[in-house]
Order: sequence, then C-alpha cells, then structure tokens
Amino acid sequence: MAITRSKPKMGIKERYASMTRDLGWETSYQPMDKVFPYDKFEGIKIHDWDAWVDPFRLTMDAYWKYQSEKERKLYAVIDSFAQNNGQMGITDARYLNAIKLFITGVSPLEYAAHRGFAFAGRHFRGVGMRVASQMQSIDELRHAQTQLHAMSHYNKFFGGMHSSHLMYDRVWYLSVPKSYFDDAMTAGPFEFLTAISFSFEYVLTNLLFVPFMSGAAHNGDMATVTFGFSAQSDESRHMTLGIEIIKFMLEQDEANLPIVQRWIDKWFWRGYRLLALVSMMMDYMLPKRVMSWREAWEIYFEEAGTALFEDLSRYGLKMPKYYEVANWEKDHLSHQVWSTFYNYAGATAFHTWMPNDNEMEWLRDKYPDSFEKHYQPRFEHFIKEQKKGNRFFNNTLPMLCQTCQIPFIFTEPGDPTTTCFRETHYKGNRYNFCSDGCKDIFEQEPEKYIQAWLPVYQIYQGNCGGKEIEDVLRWYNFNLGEDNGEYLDSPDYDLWTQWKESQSRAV
Amino acid sequence: MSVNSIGDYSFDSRDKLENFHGAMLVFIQWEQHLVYCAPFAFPLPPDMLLGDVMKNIVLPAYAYHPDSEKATLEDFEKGQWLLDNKPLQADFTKSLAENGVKHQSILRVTIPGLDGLVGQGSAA
Amino acid sequence: MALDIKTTIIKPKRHTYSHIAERLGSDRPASRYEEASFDVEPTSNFHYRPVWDPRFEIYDTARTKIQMEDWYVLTDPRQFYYGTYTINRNKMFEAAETQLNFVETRGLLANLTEADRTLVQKIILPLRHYEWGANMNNVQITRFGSGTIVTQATAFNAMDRLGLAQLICRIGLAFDAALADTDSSCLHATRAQWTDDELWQPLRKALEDSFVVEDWFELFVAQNFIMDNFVYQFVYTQFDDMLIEKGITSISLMTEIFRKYRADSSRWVNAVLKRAISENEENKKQIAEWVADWSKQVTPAVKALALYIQPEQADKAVQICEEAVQKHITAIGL
Repeated sequence: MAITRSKPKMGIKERYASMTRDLGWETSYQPMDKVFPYDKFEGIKIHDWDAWVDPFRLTMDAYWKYQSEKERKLYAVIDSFAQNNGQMGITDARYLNAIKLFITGVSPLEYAAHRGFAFAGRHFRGVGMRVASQMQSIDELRHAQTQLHAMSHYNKFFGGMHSSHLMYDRVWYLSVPKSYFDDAMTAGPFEFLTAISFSFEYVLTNLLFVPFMSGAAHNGDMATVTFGFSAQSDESRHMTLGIEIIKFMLEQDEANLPIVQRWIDKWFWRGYRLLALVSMMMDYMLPKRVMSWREAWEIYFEEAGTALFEDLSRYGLKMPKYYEVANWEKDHLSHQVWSTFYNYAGATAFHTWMPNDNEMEWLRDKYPDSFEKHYQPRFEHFIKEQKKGNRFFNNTLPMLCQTCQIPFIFTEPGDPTTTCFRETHYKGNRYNFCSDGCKDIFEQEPEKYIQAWLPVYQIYQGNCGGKEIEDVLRWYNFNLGEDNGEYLDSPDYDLWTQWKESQSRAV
Repeated sequence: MSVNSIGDYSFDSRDKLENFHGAMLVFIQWEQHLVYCAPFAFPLPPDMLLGDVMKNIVLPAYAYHPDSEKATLEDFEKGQWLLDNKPLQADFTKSLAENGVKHQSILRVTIPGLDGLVGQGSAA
Repeated sequence: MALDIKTTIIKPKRHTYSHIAERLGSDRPASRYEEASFDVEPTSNFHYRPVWDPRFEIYDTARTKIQMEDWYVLTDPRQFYYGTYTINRNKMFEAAETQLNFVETRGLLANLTEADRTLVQKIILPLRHYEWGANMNNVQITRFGSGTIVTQATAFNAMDRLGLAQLICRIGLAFDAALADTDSSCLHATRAQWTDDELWQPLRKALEDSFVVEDWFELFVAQNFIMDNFVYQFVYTQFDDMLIEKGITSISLMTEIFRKYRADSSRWVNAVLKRAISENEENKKQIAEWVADWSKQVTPAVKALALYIQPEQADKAVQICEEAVQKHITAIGL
C-alpha cells in the first residue's frame, strides 16, 4: 500500500505549544483557585498566561538527550580524576577551603532551588511557566548531586567537607545562605522567581558561579571545572527564565511594577550580602587569583548590571535600592569578611590564614584606596602575634544582623572605621541591622524576620548542643582540630606538605 | 508595611526575652578596635553591675588587643559611652538595668587616646 | 615514581561523607546513589514559615498522616539519581522514537479503518491530559514530600509523565502525518473531549479531586498506585490486547513505552508502599483506606471507557482490570 504523507499540520511553535500549554485545561470539578491556590495572593496580575513564551522549546526527549550526554562525559571525568589522584594536581591545599565553602554553603542552595522550583513548577496556573520551572527544578537537583559526587574524592583526603548538609542546618555562618534561601522558599511563587531566577541567576550569578569556576580552573581543580562547565548550559537556560519572568510580569499589568521593584530591591540586597562570602574567597582563598572582588563587582555589576537596568528602564524599573552602598563597599568587603573568619577560625569548617608577602602586595595593588591604610595594620598585627605562637582566636560570639544574619562587621558607608548599626522596633522589641538595606527588608515584613533562627542567640538559648563552645562545635559535627582552626596547623597542610615533599624526592 | 500571607501569619520573636532563661541579650563594642571584627553578644542578667560586666567579661574578652593593657577599668568608666545610639553617663556601680540597658541593647565605648593599633583612622 | 607515592602516602582518611558512613554502619565506599540521596533535605532550624501556608515548616513531616521513623528507608530499587535516571530515560525514549518512526515510515497507521482510528484516537490521545495531571501531582509531592530519597524519585516520575504526555502528542502527530485528507491536527480535539465528552468525565473528576488532596502520601497512593494501575492496566494492556486481537499492531508498537515505563515505575511505587506499610499498623490502615477510597473513585472511570469500547464486555473488562490491580495491592502487603 502506498504511504500517504501529508505536510505537517503544525509549525514548530504550534507543535511545541501542543506539547506543553495545550496539555493543561480549565478544571471544573474543582475550582481553579483551589487547584492553584498560591498564584494570586502576592498581588501580581496576570491577564494572559499564554503570553508567556518559552524561549527554549525543549521537549523532554530533547532534554534527556542533551543532559544524558553531558552526564556521561562528566562522570567519565570525575572517575578519571579519582583514579589519577587529581587532588594532587591543585595549586595548593589552601585552595580546597573554597571548595569546603562551596559544598557547605552553595550545594545545599542548589538542592533548595530544586524543591523551590518544584513549588513554582506546580503552582502557576500557566502551563508554560510550570514546564520551564520544572526543568530548572531537576537541573538544580542535578547540580546538587553532581557536586556531591565531584567533591566526594576531595572529602576522602581533606577536612571540612564530610557533613555538608547537617552543617547547613546548624553552623553559624551557614545560616547566611540558608536564611537567604529559606526566605525565598517561604515567599510566593512570583517572588521566588524574582529572587532566584532574576535577582540571583540573572543579576548576580556571574559573581558567584564564575568566580568559583574560574577559581577552580586557575587552581588546577579539574573536578570542579568539569561540573561547572557541564552546568553552564543549564545556567544559561536559568538566566533566560529569570529575565523572561520579569518582563512577563511587567508586560502583563502596570500595577505589577511597584511590587516587582520592591522585590528586586530586597533580593538585590539579600543576594549581595550573601556574596560577601564569595568576595573573601576571591581575594583570600584562591592561591592563584583570578581577579579581585572589586574588579569583578565593577565588571559584573557596575557595568553589566547598570546596562541591564538601563534596558529594563523602559518598563519603569530602576536600579535596585542601595546599589551605591554596595559599590562603595567593594573596597572593603572582602577584607572585613576575611578578618572575621580569621577571628573565628576556631568555629569554622574551613581554615583561614594570613596572606603571604606576595599576596599582601597583590592586595595593595588591587585595593590602593583601602588595603594599606585600613587592613594591612590589622593583618600585620595578626602575623606578628602568630609568629610568636599567639595566633588570634576570638573566643566571644558576635552580634548578628536580624536580616542577613552576618555578624556586625560592616562599617558605615564612607567611613571604614566605624561599625554600622541600624535598628527598628516592632511590637515592643528591638531589632538590630547591619545596614539600611537589611533594615528596610525587615520593615516590609517584620512578621517574617522576627522568626529568624540566629545561630549565636540560639546557642545562648541552649538549643545548640551545650553551653561550651566545644559542645556547640561537636553538635556541628566538626572533627575538632581537623576541620577548624589555622591552616598552617591543620592536617590538610601537613598532608599537602608530605605529598609535595615526597613528590620532589621522587623527582 | 506588613506581610502578605494566606491565613494568619503571626509568630513569636524567636529571640524574645523569655527565651534567655533570665538573661537578656546585650551587645558591647570598644569602638575602633576592629581587630575584633564585630561587637560581642552576651546573655547577661539585668541586675548584673555594669562594672562587673566590664571587669569580668568584656575586658578579658579584649585581652588580645594591645590597647587592653593600656586601659584600666576606670578609663573605661570615664570613656565616652553610647547606649542604643544615645550618650550614656555610664555608672559601673549600677546594674545594667539601672544604666538603662535593655534586651538587645547596644553599648559602645570610646576611650580618647586609645584608637587602635596605629592610631586614628585605621580602626584596628 | 608516581606509583611510589600512591602506595605509600595516598591513603584516604575516610571513604565517604560522614552521614553516609553512619547510615551504612561503617566507613566504606558508598554508591553514587547513596551519596546523592541520603540526608540531602534539610531537617531542622528553618528560619521562616511559608507565607502561603504558615501552618507548616518549609519541610514538614506533619504534611502527611504517614509516620516513618526514617524516611530514607523508602529507597528506589532502580537506584536512580539524576545521572542514571537521565541516561536511562534517554535510552527508553529513543527506543520509543524509533518505534514511532517505524510505524510512520511503514505507513502502518494508514491501514486502520476509520472506526478503529477514531476509537484509538478517542481512547489514547486525551490521555495526554491525564499524563499532565500525573505530572502535576508528582511535582506537588516533590515539593512537599519528606526525604530526598522519596522526592527525587517523584521528581523523576513527574518528568516521565511530561515526557509521556508529549509522546502521546507525537502519536497524534503520527496520525496527522498518515492522513492526507484533513487539514487540522487530530490533537486539537483532545482537550474538548477530555473536558466535555462523557467518556472522560469520571477520570477527569478523580484527577481534579486529587489536585486538591493535601496529604502528599495520599496523593502518592491515589496517583502513582491506584489511578495509574487502573488506567495503565485498562488502556495499555487490555485495550491494547483487544487491538492486537483485531490484528492492529501499530498502536501496540507506539505505546510499548507505556508498558515499559509502568513496569519500571511500579517496581519503585510498590517498594515505597510496601516499606511504608510494614513500618507500623497505623500506616497500613491508612494506606488501605486510601487504596479503597481511590479505587472507588477510579473504577467508574474505567467502566466508562469499557462501556464505550465494548459495551457487552464492559463488566468483564472492569473485573479483569480490578483483578490485575488487586495483585499489586496484595504485593504491597495489604
């Protein structure tokens, strides 16, 4: 019998629509508002969900095809990295402290994103947005899992990586990333996408992902480079979702503008405070530096961010509030943060140390307006005392910001010598903040932030394993003397020195 | 402003005074001495004398700073104090509560002439 | 020389993450499934309550009546983590595509009588909406379920269901390609059939009622165990058998993936339920109750389809279907 074939009855666009948007229907046995109870209360008005156009038109078979190819390649590299003792190819064991920060502070966020995007992937009544969110949801699971696998080999030899998820729930500085993501996950679905897809993935990701991945490349960390490279095409999809959702909300109704602007203000500042951890990673933790935090901020925020918001100004959006403060802080942020972790090295699951002479010179060079005057004296004092066997460990617990949960280490904008304090009162209680940005965020939703699980105050309330700091560190599941403390006194340092010595002997 | 929620959204402050077993949360900073990266947080009984707080808790905590050898308890008492951003005539013989210190209060002190490691402006 | 170094000083300090070692009972090398799955979900010290549902924490075991001492005993016998899952599904769907292409290039759909074609289109194509509903329910469980070991598997299952919904669309497109005499796609009619045709109303009602179920474990039972067992048994086994008896094999080729998928996912669904039931009497009682409730809801759906296909055989078809589902119910320990 003759094969009769007609011309395709659908174009590519229509065909994709038939495989996504056409799958949904208006429910009638249960009201739509009950099936989708969460996509209206935030006040975002959507008149036409079908106006959402998926920029990728990725069907599941295509998704599995691309992703499975990437997974095969990635795991081949991870396997060979382990077989060939790739851990010995890094520049210096100090580098791994960046990885410890990553696996305890960033990988759990990937996982949280997985669950958060599942929420978005179920609860928008627009099918197209749900499909896009679902794909991001499993991508994020991918990232969390490939990171656990890629770093598993380092964990076999070095401290600080063995308990990342428990630490994320308990350790004091990890409440900074955790509260950030908890904040997003407890918000409605539109705010969640504004927070994570736009403010984080689109505006700030180059200041997180790029520094970690290029840091890995510069420092011979093939395991991290490979998963970073492998995740890049996922990330570009995620970034596109971020910009599209903002445009979608703003195009749907003028009344959405003030809500979206408020969210962008909030999530810019929340994200920027989170990046404080990255700034110290870039300027202090990488034995071979990529660029300074200041340079990265100038390129990725001051230039790229300004251009982005100029572009978005046609929708009426303005630069996020307090961006000037962030710009001012670029000369100080990393130094203030590194000082803090040097102070509290006894209570961190990574090591800190003082920069060597070359590194001091690099810092002076990269920070001509701030380093020599404000931070070098502090560091020279630490070095002098450390040489006398008197390495500084701050044995007190610090005051924390009610919103970002970072200790009060930031100084007044324009004055790097005076700690910045802000306060507000709510229902008869006083609350303290590190910045105007954090104070504003609290005042928008005080009912939310009064619930914050602030690690220092929880220790004092007796909820963290005991009264003594040592009890608390055990509750954090730290191997004392191994995970924490000064780098030069660490088993990491000893092991690395041993390897290097036996390598040079063998040569 | 207030939170936009589905259903009643009201919770206790996680750090309400009652949770601290009779103590209150007090923050103390010797200004300009940023070798110590942040103000200290202490849970302290409101009836504890400010002088005892300084002598037994705060001064030992600052022991690593070279300036701590140069400053006596009297220097601290005579220093310039800010309580919750308002000037305070600190009285070491009185309790925290009598000095006006409340839960989540911030005490900041400056001793003229003791400006950190390398003098005015470096804040170390 | 490198060998020297390896044998002398490159000794691992530990073989896996400490929480994994704790679960394994000793520090031995762990599988990728174990490292990717155990204890990944946060369990304590949540900062804020969701503004959209302040009754619960961000992750909250109180979101179901089912009680487990440890949710991580509900392992997936397929041991899927993202990598193995994705590679597996790529193969599965590539094979399906090959079969579809075979049917298309050999022109096998053109052989159907108009009555058979209408019947097949009417029974198979609207199920893309059912698959999409199953996707919604599994995404819901992925957000609200307890323990990564459970929710990663539902996440994968959700994507499976989207893939299967899209595969049904592909079947529709294959029909389009085989028929030169119409201008519009046969897919255009499915939504109206799904929402308006009496044939589909009992199933659509059951599905929409499941959308508003609050207890995620009930949803797991309703969707992945009861509705799926009934629908897959009836459509992809019994209906397919009937077509083969009539000498129509092309449909069977195109829907082969649904039987493969069901065999694969059943292994996981049954394992999860069996373990949860064996945990305690309360779980057993509760799950039995849900099984009975949802069976009652979905039986009319199957009956409606059976009446449409072969009215005189309907009671028997429903009975066969119920017996097949009963085997699964027995298998999980009820």
